[in-house]
Amino acid sequence: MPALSDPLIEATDLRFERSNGFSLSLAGFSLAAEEAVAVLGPSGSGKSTLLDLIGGVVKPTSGRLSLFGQDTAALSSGALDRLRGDSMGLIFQEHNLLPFATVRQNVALGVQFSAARRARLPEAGLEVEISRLLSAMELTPVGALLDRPAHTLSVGQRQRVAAARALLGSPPLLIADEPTSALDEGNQARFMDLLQAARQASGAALLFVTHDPRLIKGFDRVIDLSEGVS
Amino acid sequence: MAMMFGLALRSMLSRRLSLLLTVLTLALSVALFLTIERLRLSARDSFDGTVSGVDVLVGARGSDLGLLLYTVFQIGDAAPSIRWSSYQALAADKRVAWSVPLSLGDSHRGHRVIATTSAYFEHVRFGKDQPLRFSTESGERIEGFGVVLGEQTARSLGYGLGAPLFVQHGLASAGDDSHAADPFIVTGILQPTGTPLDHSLLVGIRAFEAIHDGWRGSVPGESEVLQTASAGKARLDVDLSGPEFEPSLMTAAYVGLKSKRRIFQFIEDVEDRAQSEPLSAVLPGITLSQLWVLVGSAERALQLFSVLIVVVALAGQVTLLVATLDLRRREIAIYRALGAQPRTIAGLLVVEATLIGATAAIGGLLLTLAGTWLAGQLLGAYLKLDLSAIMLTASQALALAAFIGVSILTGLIPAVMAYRSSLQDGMRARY
Repeated sequence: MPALSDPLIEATDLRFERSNGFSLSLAGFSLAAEEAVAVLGPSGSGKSTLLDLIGGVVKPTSGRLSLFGQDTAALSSGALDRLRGDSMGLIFQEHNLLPFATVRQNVALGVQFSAARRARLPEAGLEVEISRLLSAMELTPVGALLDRPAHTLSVGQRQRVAAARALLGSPPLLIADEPTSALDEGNQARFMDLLQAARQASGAALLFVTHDPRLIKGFDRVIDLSEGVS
Repeated sequence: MAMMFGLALRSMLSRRLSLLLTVLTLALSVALFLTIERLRLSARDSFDGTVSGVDVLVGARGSDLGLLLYTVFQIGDAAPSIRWSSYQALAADKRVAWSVPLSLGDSHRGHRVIATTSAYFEHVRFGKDQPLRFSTESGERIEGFGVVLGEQTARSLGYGLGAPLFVQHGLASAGDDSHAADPFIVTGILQPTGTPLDHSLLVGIRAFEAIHDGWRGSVPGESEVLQTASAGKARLDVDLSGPEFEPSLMTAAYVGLKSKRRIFQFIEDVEDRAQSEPLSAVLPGITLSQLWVLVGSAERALQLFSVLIVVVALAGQVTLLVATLDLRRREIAIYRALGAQPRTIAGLLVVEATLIGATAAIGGLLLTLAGTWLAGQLLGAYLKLDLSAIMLTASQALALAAFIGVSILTGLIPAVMAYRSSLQDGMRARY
């Protein structure tokens, strides 16, 4: 895992243009290990585009973007897939669980495609780690939930299962794309508390994207895309 | 890996309706393909088995096919044209184990009459060397003025044992009653053979000669036969063994040889007997093959039809899978967003496509088994097609393997479409 001073993400003069005329420009951007950064901005400000760039879905039109010390311009699509699988835990706006799969299968999916993440599992094993993460996300009783299909869970439960999936295998970077948008106010606050606690326990950095200013408490830095990068 | 397999199964279960329809469509097409193939092979077997156990067919000099057509398939006109003495010489050949004379050309209400001897029932076979069998309580008696009916003849004309009938000149179905005074009495009804024999009548060649010769003797005629059963019996018991009933001409002969090793020499010798009478001798099997080449276009059409069915079904599979692409796309998108490599996704899709193809192939085979068993029970005896024998031939097994292979490929087309557009979906997919 990189030292605290080594940036996991480093962007210089980054520019991306879409065919519909939308463009995103970042003069400089970095995210250090174990750092928690919130990206704030209204719809259309480029939050999702920033995540696409960091997730390796698209490559910059110009400028330099380095992920975990590797220049994305030099990485193939397969290498970016591997990097994403090994080093990033993703939490989506609408959880993106497989509805037909059980809670256990959905959480375990986090390490299915990455040998590096499987290697980082504690010695106690996959089952124990899944149970621990579900407990950490206050999904109890764990035993009763493990074999339930995801589509039978409440919205709040699904988002916590998605968080547990992202945390499994201790990826050094968590990316959360408006994960609380479907939750009510009380559940939003509780989810943020649980996510921050679990992240700190695992030592992961967090890049949290939101349009809601009430959720940016407790972050080391805030990048407001509506005002430009700070 | 086990977990991914479990996920693939759960994923398939979640799309069970569309997959079930896909598998059902494919299984039905496989079943149709196999059934048509089975029917085609059965038809060919039935065709090849029209006459069996006969080594050489001998007739008047002419076309081999023509001889086969009018003696075996009863197609075309055939008049007695071989001298009886030629037949006797043939029958006396040391290489001949048995011979059956045939005299053709007359009919009864559209059904052809074969005049022959009792040896016909002993030596002539059909199908895979199956002997001719009679329905319950009937026998093979064509001595005197007895007549044995083919199964279809008896059924369509409604004749039973003891019924009187008379033959007509030529193949006219009505109008000629010149032999009305010389009725034959039904003594036997053959079980179905699935050959033209089912539509025929078999009478004694001596009785045939007698009615054409204008012989009356002292046997009861039509009017007495219609009035008393004993008159009919008297016509059966009449002694026609005298030399005056020996036919002067006949149409053809079935010949069985003691040894088949010198069959071509035998044929050559028969055809070289030009000094007595020009004859043709043919091997029924070879001539049947020549005939099959001529009529094989129907077979090729069937083959083309069955392949088209499978092609249409596979096109249906692609259509159905593309129609359900949205669900698949989201699933693949999540896998990719979580770092799945292209080969992992491809593996999942291949496993699924293989399961679909294999299930459809096995399902189609089972449907065919069930269908042909049922058809065999209901229609086998009537059609005399060997429908119950559903052993998978090597070519059919190969076709099934090819089907599974193509099914996998067609299943991959929508999967590749899904893969290409999946990653951005994965980052924002909505389930």
